[in-house]
Parts: sequence; C-alpha cells; structure tokens
Amino acid sequence: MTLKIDDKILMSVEKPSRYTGGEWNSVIKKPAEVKIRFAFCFPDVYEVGMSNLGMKILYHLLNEREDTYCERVFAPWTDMEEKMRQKGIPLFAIETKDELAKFDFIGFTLQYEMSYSNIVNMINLAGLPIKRDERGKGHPFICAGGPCAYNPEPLADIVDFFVLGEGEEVINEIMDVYADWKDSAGERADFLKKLAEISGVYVPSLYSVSYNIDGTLKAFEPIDKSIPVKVRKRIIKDLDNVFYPDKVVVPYNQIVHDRIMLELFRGCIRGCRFCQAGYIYRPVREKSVERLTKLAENLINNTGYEEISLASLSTSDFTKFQELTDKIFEMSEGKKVNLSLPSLRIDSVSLSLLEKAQKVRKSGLTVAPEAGSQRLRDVINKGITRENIMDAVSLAFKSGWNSIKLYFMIGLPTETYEDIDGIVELAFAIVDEYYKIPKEKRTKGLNVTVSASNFVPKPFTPFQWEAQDTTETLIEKQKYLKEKLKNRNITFNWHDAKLSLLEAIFSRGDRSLGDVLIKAREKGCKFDGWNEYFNYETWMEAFKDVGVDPNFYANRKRNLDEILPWKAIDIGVSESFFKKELEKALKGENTPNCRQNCAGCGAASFEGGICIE
Amino acid sequence: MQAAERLPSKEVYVLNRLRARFSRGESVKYISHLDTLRTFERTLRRAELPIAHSQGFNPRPQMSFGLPLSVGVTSVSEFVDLDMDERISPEEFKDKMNDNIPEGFRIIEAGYIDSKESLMSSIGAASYEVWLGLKGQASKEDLQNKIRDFLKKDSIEIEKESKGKVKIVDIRPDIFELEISNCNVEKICFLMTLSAGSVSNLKPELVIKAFNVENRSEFNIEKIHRTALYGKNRVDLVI
Repeated sequence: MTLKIDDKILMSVEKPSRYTGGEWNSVIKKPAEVKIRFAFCFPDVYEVGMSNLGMKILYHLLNEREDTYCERVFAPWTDMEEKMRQKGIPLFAIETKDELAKFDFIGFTLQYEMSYSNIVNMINLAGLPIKRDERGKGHPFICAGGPCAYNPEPLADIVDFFVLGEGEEVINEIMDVYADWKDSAGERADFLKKLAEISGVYVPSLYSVSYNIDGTLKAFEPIDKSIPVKVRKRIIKDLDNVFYPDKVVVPYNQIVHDRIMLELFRGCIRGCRFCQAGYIYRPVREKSVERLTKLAENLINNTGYEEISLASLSTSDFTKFQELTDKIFEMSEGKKVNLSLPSLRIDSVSLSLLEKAQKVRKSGLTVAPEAGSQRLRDVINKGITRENIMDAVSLAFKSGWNSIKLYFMIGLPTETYEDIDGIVELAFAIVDEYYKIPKEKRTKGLNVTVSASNFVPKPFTPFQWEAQDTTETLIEKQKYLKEKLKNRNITFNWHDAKLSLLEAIFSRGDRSLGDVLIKAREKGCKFDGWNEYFNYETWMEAFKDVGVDPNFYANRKRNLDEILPWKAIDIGVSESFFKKELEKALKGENTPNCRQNCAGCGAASFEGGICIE
Repeated sequence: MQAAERLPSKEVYVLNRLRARFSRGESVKYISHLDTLRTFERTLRRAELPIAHSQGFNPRPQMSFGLPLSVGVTSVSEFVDLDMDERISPEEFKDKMNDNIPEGFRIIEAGYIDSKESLMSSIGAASYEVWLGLKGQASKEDLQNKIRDFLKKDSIEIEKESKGKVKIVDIRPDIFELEISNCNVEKICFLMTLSAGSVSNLKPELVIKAFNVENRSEFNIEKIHRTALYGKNRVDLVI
C-alpha cells in the first residue's frame, strides 16, 4: 500500500513541500517494473540534502538503469517526525511515498559526523532494526558512502556495507551483483561476501576487532583469508567521460545552495595538513573546458536556474580558470544567468578576477589564512604569506570592497598564544590597510569578519595522531580572542567547542561508538548540526551510560604505531607519507603543492590526473 | 525611438503585456507564493520565452502575479502578467510554458492586454469552493436556513489575527455570495464569493470561523479551491 500523506498532517507542518516531491526533473518510474529499489537517504532536512552534489549525481546515475528506481529520502524536520510517530507513519521516500522497508537498498551519504544521530533516527523511523546483525531476510541492505565513510567504524555495527571513494562505477557493479543475488534467492551473507570482492566496498561484518586493556585496538583483521586486508577507495580516472547529470532536480522551496553546481575537478593540489579533503580525493583530476562549457549550457537549459556556481575544493586552482570563466560568462550572460564565483584562494586573486566577480555580484571577499602567525601557517602547510594576504586585501579595498571575511582555526597542533595574537594582529593590520586608502577612494563602512573554528583532527591527514585541545582550552582561547578583537570594524564569530569535541570523537572513533549513537538517539539526540537541537549534556549522558570515555577519542595524542580504527581503508596516500608530513609540520617545513612538485604521497598508484600529466 | 530600443521604457513593455490564467492542482498546492514565483521564472527560462528583464546587476524577469494563493489551496483561476521583449503569439506562449512547467501547474489561456494597471490592484473579488467535514449529521435545509440568517445580519464581527495581533473585524461587507452546493453524509461544500485584492481581502477560513461561532457548529475545512478571480465590481478580468 502506498502511503498517502494526509493533508491534515501536511497543513500542520512547516514547509510541507519538503515532503511532497514532484519537482521538475525528479524521476518517476513504476516500482513494479524495476528489479531494484534504492532509497538514497540524506540524513538532514530537505534543503540541506538537496544541495548535495553527490546525491544529484548518484540519483540520476542510478535512474539511468532500467532495472533500478532510485528515490530520495530526507530526515523529516522535527515537527513532521512528531506527526509521523503519532500516526504511525514510517519514513518514506518522496517520489512514491513508499516506506523504506519496501526498498532493496537504503543508502546514506555521510557528509559530516554530526549527522550520525539522524541516521540512527531515520532507520528507527523506518521501523527497521538499527544494528546490522539484527536485520535479516526481507530487510533492506543499509549502505553508506561519502567523505565520512573513510572512517566507517563508528557506524560499523549499523551499516551493512560502505562504498569508498567515487561512486560512479562501483555503484553499478554493486547493483549488478545484487540483481544476480536476488535471482539466486541466496542468503544475506552470500551477497555481502560477494560484495567484498568488489574493489572499494568495505563490509564490516567480515572484519574482527579486538582491544587492549587501555582501549586501543589490539587487532583489526579480516575474518578469513579470502577477504582483503585493505579496501582501496575507487576513483574515476577520466572525469570527461564519466556520467554527470545534465539535468538536476529543481526544488520548489529555496534550498541551501539553490543553483547549478558545476564540478570542475576533484581533489586539491594543496596539502593543507589539517584538511582531510585535501588527501582523500587525490589525485587531482580536471574536466576539460569544452566538456564544462557544454555541461553548463545543458544544465541551464534543462533546469532554468538563474545562477550557476563553480564547485570544487580550491576552484581557482583550475588550470584554465580564466578561459573557463570567460566562456561560461559569455554563454550565461545572454541567458540572464548569474555566474557566482566561489571563495578564491588569496594568492590567486588578480585584479581581473576581482573585477569579474564584481561584475557578477558584489559580495564579500573571503580569505582563509587558517592560522594567525607565519610559523603556524608553515606548520599546517597553508602556503600563503602575510604579504599575499595584505596584497590581496589592499587590492580588494582599492577596487571597492569593504567587507572581508577571515577564516581561522584555533587549537592547531603546536599552537601557542603568540599564534593567537597573530590572528588579532592580522585583523587589525587589515583594518589599518583600509584606512590607508584616501577617504574618497574607499567604499564606506568597513566590516572585517573574523571566524574561528576549532581544529578537529581527521583520519587520513598528517595530524591524525594529534590530540584536540580540551573544550576548556578552546573556550579560553575563544574568550581571549573575543576580548582582543573588540573593534567597531571587526565582527568575531566562533564555533561551539562542545560540538567540535563530538566531531573529533566521531571522526576518529571506533566500533564502540555504535552503542553510544544508539543510546544518544534513544535519549532524543538528532539534528546535532543544528544549534537549537544540539544537546551536549544528553550526549555526555549517553557516553556515560554506555561506559565509553569521549576524551579517549578526542583529546588523546596517539602513538605513531597504534592501530587506527580505519586500518582496513586504503585511500592511496600512504601512512609513511603522513608520518613524514607530520615530522615536517613540527619543523615548520612546507611541502610544495602537487603542481609544483610531486611529494610522493602514493596517489600516483591510481595512474590518473595530475600524477600522470 | 532609438533611445527606447536601448533602454526600453515602461510604455514599450506595456505594449507587450501578456496575461495568463493558470491552474494549481493537488500535487503543487503546498508550494508557497514565493516558490511559485521562482517556479515561473525557471519555467520561462527553460521554455526560452522572451520575457523582459529589469536592468541592473541582478536582472529580474518582469512579471507580476495576481492574488497570492495560500498554501494548501488549489485553484483554476490564477493570473500572472508578463512583460515580453518580443510579441510572440499567446498560443506559442501557452504551449511552451505547458511543456516546461512542473505537473500540477497548467496555463489555461493567455492573451495580450493593454492595461497599465497592476494586476494586483485591479483585483476585487474571488470565488471559492470550501469543502467541510462535520462530526455528526447536517441537513441541507437546516444549513440553508443558517446561511440565510447569517447573511441577513448587518454586521458579522469576528476576531482576526494579523501580524501577531488580534483585532475585531466586520466581515459582512466582504461577503458577496454564500451558498451550499453539496451536502451529503460525509462532506459539505460551500460556495462563496468574497472581496479580494489589495484593499480588502477576506479569506474563506475566516468566513467558516464566523459561521461556526454564530451557529456553535464545528465545521472543519478539509479543502479550499479557488474557482475564480474578478476585477473591481466583480467583472471578469480581461485576458
């Protein structure tokens, strides 16, 4: 029976069009005519999930298959969830409104750790057992992918299998294996074992874990010899010839990134030592200007969107950035479509680029020095100097900008209060730079926004062994900055240190955290990424109830020979490279970017992109 | 003339003002007014129709809607005025729009108008079908009597909430017609024509609320459907 969501319910919730579907370019198929039903779940509200590029790609890719119908599922907002629980309505997909139990696959995308409680809540709302070993015949398989899947362990007791790396090829291989298995009427375990043969698929039930008395890992091994010791992530070698949707779903209500996102390349040539994205997406692979221009045009024609943005990690690092923006600008201008330029790297900011950005829309300029002192910027391999920053800011002020956003991180390894003073000094130097420009030549009303996020050590970075500052230390540093940055031209923002602690726990957590997640959900934790719902005290109670020490994961410096929870995962960048990078970091030595010089990280083994240019 | 080509004046646009009537069905009734606006903008771009745009950094398509439709309400009589850069045929406009608009919306008719008056300010009344659910039974005759008595009153005062404030308003002058069209065991349908537009705008919900207060009844609104929009003095809108 198809669930028809009652008008009375929809009329009583905020933004009912989050749940009704029917958007332009959404895919309608008859469920009875397909063999595989895939529920693509984004563990956050519609407006956030619909902005995710990975979902757009995989939704349309899966629906290219005649035997598969992929539908979308989002976390219902709390008002809707309440109604659903009251009326006994299980979690449903927005295309057919069918409940999730009817699907073959439930696939979650893991974009940030603080969505994990929503994953547990969504499985519960679907009426399915949360732990994988409690699910059996007739239950859907629950899988997950996305950046957080590189440390799958906190979800290893919940999810049946993880897909590592880029999904365009491997997802089809998985569907093919499933179609055969479904015909064979085999056991669940048979399918999972078959999956483990596919490169890029990690099946946690096939690995056994044991712990030392101090809580560190003693062993992490496959349960038998046929299972690979390491699962290697998948990449697409040639991005020009891989599927990219030229039509995407156009939502009715305004979503977070309500525009066309054109992905220029994957990976990042920089190697900022705190940044996981800078390593897990290696090697850098670009699309051609021709392909991108054609895609941009098709996307504009097929969606009718009024804005197109260029989406990649450090977008202005695109080799032919100037040529590409010229071409797209020329094409989009006639269609009355805005081209929005993403945050630009400060050392690449040129006058012509600034002018172009200004022609499109006068928005603030963003600079991310990440650390206040040159010493610490060298530790993190940021690769920009004070001179770069001041030059760019000065140029921006002279071309009429009056709003600058500065992004910093506090709690970075080796940080002292001298480095924090550097943040203050830099912010005031920028204010001074503005007042150096004659009054009649500058735009009135200077606003320098200083944002300080808290360093979260991430797996697959040179800092993966480092401790996070304690919450108390972080709060002290924030207070210090708040006091020192009092100025009418400066606005200071900071991130919740308690939330950063939880991020740090889950980003490097192990299997013991599964029970904490389940407990936290029982106690009501959900939408932790949303200020109004994040409840630190409840989380701490959940840790206590389960008997897990949160600080063990976040605030402990790990031994370099410790077995890390993500031991079975291979991203192509070697552990020895990370160790070398950590050593260089502590000495304040820079590593050149991939375009300047190959640092020998190991990603060349993929034989793609910049490594073979 | 040349100047007008470079920077088209308001008058030039008005020559190519196209008015369209469209419907909004069940599947899109939860879309807000603002979202409907965006849907039209994007539909126009997909259809590659020559809509005029405002000048400046952020050019906006020149269109204006009639009376906003509340979330949850369906309609067969919504209006939009569009200033076109080029005088394409209304038929072409209608067909191309319908090829590119999400299911649930439908352009019913379109035509050029020569009015300079804004659509919103020319609207005077609207008709609705209001479907009601009732606990227990109600006879048609009894309801007709109640409506007759209701309309006989010189004033019908009711509390109205607007921008967080509650005030007492007299809605009698804004009710032009009220009758029963359907009455069976499960559902009752009221037909009503009410004042609408920028000067005074009476929503069907308030009429039902007042009717309930007057008769100590407990009718619940199950569905509202707009059947017509009129100009001042309830004349049909030109199209």
